[in-house]
Amino acid sequence: MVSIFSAPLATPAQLSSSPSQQSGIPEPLEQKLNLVACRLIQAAGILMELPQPTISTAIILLQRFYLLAPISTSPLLPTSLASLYLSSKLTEHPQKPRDIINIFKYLLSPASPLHPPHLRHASAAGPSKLRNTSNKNLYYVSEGDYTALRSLLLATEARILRTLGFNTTVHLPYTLAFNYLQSLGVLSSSRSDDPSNSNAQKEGEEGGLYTPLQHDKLVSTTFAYLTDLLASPSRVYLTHHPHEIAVAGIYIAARDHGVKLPMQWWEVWDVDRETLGFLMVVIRAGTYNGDTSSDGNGNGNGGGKIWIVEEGAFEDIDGGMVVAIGRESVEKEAEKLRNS
Amino acid sequence: MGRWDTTTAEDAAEAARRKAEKEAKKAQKLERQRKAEEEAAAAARRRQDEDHARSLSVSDEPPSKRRKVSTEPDDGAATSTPTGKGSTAVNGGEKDTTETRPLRFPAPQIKPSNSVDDYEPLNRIEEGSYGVVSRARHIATGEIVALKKLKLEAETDGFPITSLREIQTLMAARHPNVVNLREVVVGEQLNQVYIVMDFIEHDLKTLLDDMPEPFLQSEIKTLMIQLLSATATIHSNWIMHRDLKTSNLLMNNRGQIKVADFGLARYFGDPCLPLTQLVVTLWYRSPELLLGAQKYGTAIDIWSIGCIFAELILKEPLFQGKSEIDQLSKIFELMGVPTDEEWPAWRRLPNSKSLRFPRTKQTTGHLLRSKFPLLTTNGVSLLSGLLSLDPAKRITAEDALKHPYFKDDPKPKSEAMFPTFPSKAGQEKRRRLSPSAPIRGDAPQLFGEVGLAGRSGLFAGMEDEEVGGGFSLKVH
Repeated sequence: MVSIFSAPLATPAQLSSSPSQQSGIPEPLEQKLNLVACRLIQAAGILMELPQPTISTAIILLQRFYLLAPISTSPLLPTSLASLYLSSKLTEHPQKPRDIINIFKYLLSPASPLHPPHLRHASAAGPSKLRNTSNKNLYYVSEGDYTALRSLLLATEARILRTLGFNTTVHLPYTLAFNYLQSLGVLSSSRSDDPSNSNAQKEGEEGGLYTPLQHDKLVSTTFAYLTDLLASPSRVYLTHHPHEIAVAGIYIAARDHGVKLPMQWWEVWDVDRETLGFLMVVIRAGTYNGDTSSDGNGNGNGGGKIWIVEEGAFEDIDGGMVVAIGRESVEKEAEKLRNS
Repeated sequence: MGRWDTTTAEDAAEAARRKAEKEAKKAQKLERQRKAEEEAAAAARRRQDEDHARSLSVSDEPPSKRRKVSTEPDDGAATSTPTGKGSTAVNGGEKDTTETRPLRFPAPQIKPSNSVDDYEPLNRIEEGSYGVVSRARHIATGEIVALKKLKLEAETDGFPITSLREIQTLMAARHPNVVNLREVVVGEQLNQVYIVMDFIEHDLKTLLDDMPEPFLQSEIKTLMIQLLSATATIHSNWIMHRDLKTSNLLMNNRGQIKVADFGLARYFGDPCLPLTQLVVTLWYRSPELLLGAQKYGTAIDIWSIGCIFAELILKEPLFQGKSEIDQLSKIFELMGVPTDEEWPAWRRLPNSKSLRFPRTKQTTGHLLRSKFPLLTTNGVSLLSGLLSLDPAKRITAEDALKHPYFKDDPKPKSEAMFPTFPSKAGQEKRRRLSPSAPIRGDAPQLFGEVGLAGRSGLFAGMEDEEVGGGFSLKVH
């Protein structure tokens, strides 16, 4: 019964000494790469039509792994591939390595919406100036590349498992948040327990605290915050239990929608004021500086776009940024940051 | 948890506070007495004296601290506070009523696997199709453990999903009657992975084979309670074991059985999804699985428990089918042919179309009464509940634990009163019973895993195979 509240968490010592930083990757760069890994896995998961729990599990596994292994020896791409592959098995939605590799190839190709627009033309036309490869390899995985990537993926999976001590228990806050919302009585004004029917049932009925449309919004806003928190630089999924994250998501979503909740309701689920306050700050801080559009508030638009390439230069453009995940590019950027 | 009903929480806290106050008073009284007394030589002696003195001196209120022999249900944590520390307990109690304190949940650390070099190998116990089990000693502590090496050499898709499930479910299913997973250790090569579990001396299958007399009714009750409570916990954690059988039930010399081998276990959901029906060793496989049901639930484990219950009484497996068809007919022989009233959904199962059974008064209804003449009425009632043909009507582990059978005389035997047995796995390799370990295709009539590999066709033409062997003795 209690087991769903006892997923592994990082210790303060682990949080203060990042192996990536020790191996010469400055903290801002590590945060950027963490954010980009979340974006990539999320995008790949959506394209593969995987459920959000599978995607979230992959991201949490990746974050736990980088708590103990440096990015310099375990590059971002194979680790992202392996995390998603592993979580697809753990959540009983197994995927083929081939499909995952193909999807990531697309996401890093010039055709991808994640590709920086100012580079798209240059990359697509003629041999790339960034890489001495022929153009066609930008779009598909050759047989040789596939074999190499596949064995890299499987080796990385084994490495993730042994680094985590084979404890792959991941508990997500989504179902808890949904249960809590139901218990708070803000999802339905009548006795109906099934929120999927609530739209039909509530029509014409006198609404209680809330109208049906807003019920759905409250749930989806809560879930959006929970998913956003995955990409937070504070990595709260490594430091906080799912019930605490669930309560924080509900708190802020309810405030967004102007829903009144009982006094100190969070205490019912064993969350104290300090924890909730801290998570509020984390949520409000968003995922990275200059990116205000992703905190779910809708204020702030334009800037904050993140573009991802495999190898290339790190750039800041128009309030957005270009991040390269390849080993060489990361090393080059780390060196640049260390020298400046 | 537990804060849903604030009034009960407050009541409990209030009760605890009052109890603690009494404790404090008594502690002071005792303190005075003790000072008067001569110092006893041994600490144990003194505690006894105190108990005596207290029972003599206290007349106005019931003694709140007694010897462990008396079981007072309401004497919870409060009485366990040692005398003399009562005053601190009072403070704690009062604080609790004024201010809420959120529960803190434990979190295991994120840490890498240890090396297999931490263990010194002793002897090989058993080799199965998906691993080798050996006895080993933890060098740092000297503790004896069972080490199961996973067979990963042939894996082409990375770490197998079944092994992921095995480790995940074993980690989640913590229970005194489930074998304890200590850790997962690794060798230098990426494909060297070992599951470390407590070493348990016996397995129930070998014990049953070697015992001159079957277990007593009182012993069977204890074993069944242990098995059912472990299964209830597993099921409430949304896990199905899918391979319960006597050779997967380990037993130590302290009268405890431990459910082992979660190699086929997995999480399930509600509503259930289509799952593979080629699970559970044939002799313990439920009729809905044999009839090809793709959607099944925890009832398949309950059927296996029914078979185990019967086996504990009979000292031999209840339904020893040679093939899936033979297994079904053996089941229907004893439990009766399914009728539409008894099991409304059975006609819709894939394999039921090909079956024709005479449905007369003689063939319907079970014959457990005559098969188990010495079993009490409640015993027969429990067995028929566990072996109900319709999975929807099969008793749950939770309900089975409340069955009157366990309240009848003879009462369940205390674990400490169980006899001990010489260990088969302790020193030498376990004796192998006729056809050896479940190497794929070797004993296909018994092992669902063979079917998992898409070899269900092998079940055909196995009628001539020898009956009764094929069990591998698993210690893990």
